[in-house]
Amino acid sequence: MKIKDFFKKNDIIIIFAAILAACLLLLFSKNSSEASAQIIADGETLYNINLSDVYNTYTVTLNNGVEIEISHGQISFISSDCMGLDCVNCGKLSKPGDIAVCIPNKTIIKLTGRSSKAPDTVTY
Amino acid sequence: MKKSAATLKTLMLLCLLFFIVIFSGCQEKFTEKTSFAMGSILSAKIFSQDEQLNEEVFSLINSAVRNADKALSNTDENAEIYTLNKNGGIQASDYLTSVLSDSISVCNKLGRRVDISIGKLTSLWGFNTETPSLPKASDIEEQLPLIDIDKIAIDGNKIAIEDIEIDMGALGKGAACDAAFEAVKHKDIPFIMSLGGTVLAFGENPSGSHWTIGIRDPFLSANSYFATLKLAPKNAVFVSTSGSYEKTFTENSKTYHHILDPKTGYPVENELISVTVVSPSGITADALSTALFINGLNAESLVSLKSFSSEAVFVFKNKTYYVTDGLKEALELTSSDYKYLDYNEN
Repeated sequence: MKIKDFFKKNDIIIIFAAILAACLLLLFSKNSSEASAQIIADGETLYNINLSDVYNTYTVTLNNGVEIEISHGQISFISSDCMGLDCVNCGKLSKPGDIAVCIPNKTIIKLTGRSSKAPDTVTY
Repeated sequence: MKKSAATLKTLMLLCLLFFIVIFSGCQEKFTEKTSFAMGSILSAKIFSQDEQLNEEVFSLINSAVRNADKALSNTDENAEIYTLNKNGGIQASDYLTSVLSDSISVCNKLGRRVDISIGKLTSLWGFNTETPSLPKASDIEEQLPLIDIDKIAIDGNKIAIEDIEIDMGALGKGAACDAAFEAVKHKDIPFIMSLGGTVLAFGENPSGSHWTIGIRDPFLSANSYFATLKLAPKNAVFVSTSGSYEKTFTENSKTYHHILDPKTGYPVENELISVTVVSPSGITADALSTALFINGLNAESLVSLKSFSSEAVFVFKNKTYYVTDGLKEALELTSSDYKYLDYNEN
């Protein structure tokens, strides 16, 4: 039996549709850089925020006095009582893998998620 | 005949759908963990399909780093080096004895450009505190003759110091990464960790053919990088960066950074802004990045790299960079602001 006799037109359409769906799924999963933000203080995860679901900018004040601003796709330390303010100087985090730390207040903002472009880590 | 053909086609379609589902969900699993250690951030990604095993590996890494800190810290009252600095002598653990012996050897091989007997000078500048400040010039002058690695005496596990204090700041994180590697290598699970910017990558990255390590852009915020290194170690590889953008303070309109030249007592002033070293050991990666930052890009620095089987990326204040031959293929520039410096050794 020849292949063209075995597969009908509809079969070929279904197969192509399935292959196309697979390609789209793969492309989407590789390029997705949707980030979730974790706010960790004293080793405890206090918040887990999907930044793409945030539409209004708001501020969170933690028990240690650190203030964090959350907006669509971005998050940042905006105030802390630490001396160097390295945490605030980190600026806005938006990509998976971005991290900002307030060492004196033991507070971490970490962006998780997959991004094909982000390195595994950064040396500094 | 028609029925069997239809069944066959249905089976083929189901197989195709099965592969689509598997293929699209076929991303490597890893566990990402973060904690505080050695006054900085410890983060790790561990790549096995078994989450419990990943947790176990992170726990081993975390414990190894904390144990290293308990030996090497000069600010923790319970740490061995703190006690050694205070009392002038201790019966040290095997770990501290080994790390100090290795550190002295590395410092000597690097012409003492980096020197762990610098503790009193770093205390004077206050870089281990939240309020560093410019010391009096006379106080710095007074400290310089006291920086001498020969004043550390090791006899078995008995360690004694005379007139000096030890500060492992330049090598400590690398030593802790070495300890983490020793603690988990038997698990044979690929992982990448960063301890305050000193990186250890072990095994083959299951997500790709190499690990991708960004090199911080010294002119932008902490998460920015100007280039990446694509490294595929056969075993473990350590990456350390020393940069004048870290731990700075400004006094009388002048900014001072934390990399002190043991020969002048002041923060190094040259055209470099960062040096990244790739090395087969954590201590040498850390020591080399500091020593090369102090020494600058010259023939002596390149010989030092070779003697430790290491490679480096030198970044200058004018946004040029130089990469040693062994890293040329691994380095990929991600910022168009930087230009390659055609340095000629001769």
